[in-house]
Order: sequence, then C-alpha cells, then structure tokens
Amino acid sequence: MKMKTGISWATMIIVLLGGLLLFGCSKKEIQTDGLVTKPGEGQLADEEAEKAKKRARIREQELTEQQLREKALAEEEARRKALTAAAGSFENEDVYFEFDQFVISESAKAVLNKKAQWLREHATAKALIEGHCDERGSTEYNLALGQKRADAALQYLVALGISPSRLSTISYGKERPADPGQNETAWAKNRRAHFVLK
Amino acid sequence: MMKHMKSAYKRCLPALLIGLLAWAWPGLLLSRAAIDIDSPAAKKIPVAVADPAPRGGADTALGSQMAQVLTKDLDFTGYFQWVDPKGFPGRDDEKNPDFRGWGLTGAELLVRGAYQSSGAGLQADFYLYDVQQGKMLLGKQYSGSPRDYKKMAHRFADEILYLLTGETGVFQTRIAFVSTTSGKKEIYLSDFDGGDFQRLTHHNSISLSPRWSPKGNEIAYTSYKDGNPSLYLLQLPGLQSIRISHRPGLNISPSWFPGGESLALALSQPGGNSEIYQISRTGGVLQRLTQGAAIDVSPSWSPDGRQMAFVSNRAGSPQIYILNVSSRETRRITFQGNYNVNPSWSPKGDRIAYASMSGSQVDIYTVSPKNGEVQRLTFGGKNESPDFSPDGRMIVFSSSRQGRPALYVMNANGANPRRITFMNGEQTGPSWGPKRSEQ
Repeated sequence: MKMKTGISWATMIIVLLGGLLLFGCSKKEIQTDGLVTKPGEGQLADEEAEKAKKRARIREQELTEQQLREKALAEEEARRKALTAAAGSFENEDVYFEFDQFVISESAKAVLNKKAQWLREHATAKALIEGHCDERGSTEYNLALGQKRADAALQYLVALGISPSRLSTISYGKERPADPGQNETAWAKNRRAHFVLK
Repeated sequence: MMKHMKSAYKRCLPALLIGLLAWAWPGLLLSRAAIDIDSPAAKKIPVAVADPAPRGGADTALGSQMAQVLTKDLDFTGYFQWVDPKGFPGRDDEKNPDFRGWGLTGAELLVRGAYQSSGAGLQADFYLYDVQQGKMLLGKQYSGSPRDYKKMAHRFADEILYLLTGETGVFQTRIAFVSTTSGKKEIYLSDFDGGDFQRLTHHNSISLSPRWSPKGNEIAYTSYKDGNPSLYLLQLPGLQSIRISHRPGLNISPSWFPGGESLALALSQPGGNSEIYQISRTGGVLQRLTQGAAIDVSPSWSPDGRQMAFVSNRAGSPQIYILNVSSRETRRITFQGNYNVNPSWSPKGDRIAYASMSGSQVDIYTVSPKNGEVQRLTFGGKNESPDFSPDGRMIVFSSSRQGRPALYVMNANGANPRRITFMNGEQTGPSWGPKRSEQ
C-alpha cells in the first residue's frame, strides 16, 4: 500500500512539472507570434534581432526548466528507491529464533527496533507477522510454536509503541520453510518471524 | 458380534449389494486362539489359501483373485505363514477336503471355497478348516455382484481374524492421510493396506491433521484455505467441506470425543498461546480443558472419554501429559527424551503411542497410562504420527526410513513393519478409520 502511494505521488509530481513547463513555453510562443504580425520593412531587422534574443532567452529558460525537471525527477526517483528499499528490508529481514524457543533474543530485538522505526516513519503501513519453524518435530506442535513466535514479535513492537491495530499474526509452523535444506544452516533460517506489508 | 453384523448388513445392503447368509460356528475356537497372538515369541500359523472352485461355467479368474485378496489380508496381519497351495499332493472335492494331503503341505489352517457367477450375480462360499483336527471352523456364504468379490474376500478374512482373536480384522477399514502428490498438502484416503487411494480435497492450500470420526462418516481436518488455519468437517461420501471453527489464530489438532458428538481442539489465545477446548460438532465451545502460559496442543481422548492425553511444553520442552477431565488433575507421562509429541490413545486404553525425537532420529514408543512403562517400537529414520487400528492390534505411522516420508503399518508391539503407500510426494499424518460395521 505504502509503495503504491509513493509511486502515484511521483507520477503526480512528474505530470504537474511537465504541465507547468508546457504551459510556460506555449505562453511565450504566443507572445512571440503576436509580435511578428504585420512586420514593416525597416522594423524587420530589429524584430529579427529581438526575436533571436527572445529565442535565446526562451532557450535559456527551457534549459533551466529542463534542469529543474531533471533534478525533481532524480529526487523523486531517489525517494521512491529509498521507499522500495525500506519496504524491501522491512519485508526481507527476518527475526530469528532458537530451536523450540520463542524468546526475542538481543539480535532479534535489533531487527525489531528497525521495524518499529520503519512503522513510525510509515504511519499508514500495516504488517502481517508470520511465525515459522524448522522441519523438526510434529506438524501440530510447530503450528503452536510458530504462533508464539509471531505473537512474541508483535508484543515487542506493541511495547515500542506500535499500535496493535496495525499488526496481525499467522503461524505456518513448518509448512513454509525459507530454505528446504535439512541441516542446521537451513533450520536456523527457517525458525523465523517474517514480516509482510498488508 | 452377530448383532453388529446384522445391523451393518442392513445399513450396507443398498450400497454394497452383498447379501450375507451366514451360519456361524459359535464356541469351538481353536486351541491356539488362547495363545497370545501379539507376543513377539508367538509362532506364525501356517495357512494355505486354495483358489475357490468355480461352479458351473463361472469365470475361473475370479477364484484366484479372491484367493489373492484373502492371502494378502492374512499376510498383512503378520500372524500367518503362507503355505503354497501348489504343494498339495492330494485330490480335493468340494464336500470333503483331503486333510491328510493338506497336512503334508505343513498347513495347519486351510481356506477354500466355491462360487458361482451368473451375469450380474456372484455367490461365494468360503470355509476355514483346522487341518490337523480335520474339521471345519467357519463357513460363510456371500452373494452380490461380481464387482464385490474383493469385499467378500475381505469380509471372510475379517471373520477368520474374529475367530482367532475375538475381534474383527481391519480388512474393511480405511486410512486418511496428508499427501503432497499434487504439490500442495491435500487430504487423501486409501484402503487399510494403502490400496485404492483417492484424493479427497482440492483446496490448493495447506490441509493438515485429518482425524476420522468414530462413526466413519466424517473427517475433521485443518486447512488454510480461508486464510488462517481453521477446522473443517469433510462429509463422506459426498466430500462437502463444512467449516466449524474459524476463530482468529489457530484451530488445530482435532481429536474426536468417543461417540463423535464433540471434539477436542487447540485454539490460540489473543497472546498466541495454544489451549485445548472441547467444541461441539457445530463448533460451539463446550468447555476449556487446559490452562496456563504454556503451549497445549495435540489432544487424544481415552476410549472412555474420561481422560485426555496431550502435548504441553509447560516443563520447558514438549512432553505428553494426561488430563483427568472431571478432576482437572494433570500428570506428566513421558520422562525420557526432551521432545515427545503426537500422542494417540489405543482403542483398548492400555497404551498411548507417541513420537520421540532424539537428535535427527524420531522413533515411535508406547507408554502405559497406568504405570508409565515405556516400549520402543521403531529403530532408525524419522517415524512420526502413530495412530492405532480400530482393533488396537496395529499402528499406522509415517516414516522416512526409505527416503521421502511414506506410510507404514506395524503390529502394536513394533513387529512386522511394512510400507503401505508408494505414491508420488510425501505421505504424513495418518488417521486409521473405524470398522465399517460401526459406520
């Protein structure tokens, strides 16, 4: 949702800037056209010189506006990229747990602190927290454990001041591993709380 | 038993088209019936199954097909030693078996029969003989359509088991399970031996934990098809899926209360902690069964419904506990290992099967709810989700001993493990359905 809003803002700014530019240019051309109606012989050279000056001025103005537009576009692009990157890290960075545990570790706190900051900066964003487990143990116990993990992450964010109305949870137990491997490296990646923007 | 048989017959008649004209031999059990057939030291009984003889112009292939079903069924129990009927040197006639000739094959029991088929009709007579004593122990006549030859053979195999063990066999039961054959976890159904499997759900989601209702006409299961894991009842036949618990969070690990009017179910609390509730079959909460800050999940009722085994991590790791429902007292029953899950209370009430993880191994054990005595049943691989057959004599479970998880069956003492599913994908979470006579 947040990303879409950002993109539509960028589009609106581009359209507005473009509109202003077009409006400005056409106004000047109309004025120029008005000056060249019924030109006399003697006036011609002067008018030509005046026209050349104006063209130069217009060209100068166009160049400036082009530069402005490019600058604005670059800024918007940077802002959009930053937002995408921020959303990316918000969704890509998981909170990890020890085997058969749902305690929020120090490193998990560091990740969650960043998520809380991100949520403060994007006040309309809502997140779904998925609790996941590694493949060891029973289907049903892991569903229960995954729910505990998701809710432990939720409660930590709420304690940091994030409104619980912006957060929801679901447990996938061991049903959706991030890494299908059957070793400790894979298992460590799978014991996670994963964030998805709603 | 006969009462059961008769009522089953009445109810099954329209569907099965099998008429059962039974004459029973009451009393006269074999002397070996007194032997504990479940003892690991028990000797396998040598049995010969001769092809039932066609009468008149009956299709001869049907005879050997029925003999095959009977042979497979008896072999499946692990109680019998197969004797090749080709070793029979004598000459048989339908009325008088040549017991001396059969005795020379080493067979102690002989199964034979005769049948006649005419168009849409099949009538089959089956007999069981004690070869040494030279007498008939059991005789049954079945009539129906030629399509029903398998059912007739399964029924006679059930009768043989009843005569020898005092309980009907499992040859007319089915197993529900989870399989990833389609790429997603869906609920499947097969015969007791893994044969004739069929897919029951097409949710294209995650569907888990099928549990067969005591009456056999419904399968409770959890699915993510509507978002969060909710509880559904799948109607048999017809396969309509009715959602009965869609509370926020988890609606998982159903266990039917004896009689099938209610279930135990784990629901997650607002803080994410799972607690076990008893709900009606329409989904309303009847009572809360567990309390506390720990995970409580995976209930399994005792056969009388007075107690419930379940998994809790209240002592720091998942262990099996038993709740006395009326007194609300809870006691821990597993003390070996630090990860014990999947409790399944036996139909006789004397054992609770469970899975115990140790390192990368998971093995199935049983524990006595009375005195905590533990018996290990499997050795090697990952062996999980045990569930007893309705007669309590066998356990179905999933195992990765030969690679990807598949279903296996073993005797309740761990003897005679054999693989029953050979499908694509992984087969897990089996539930052994009730006897058909209870359906």
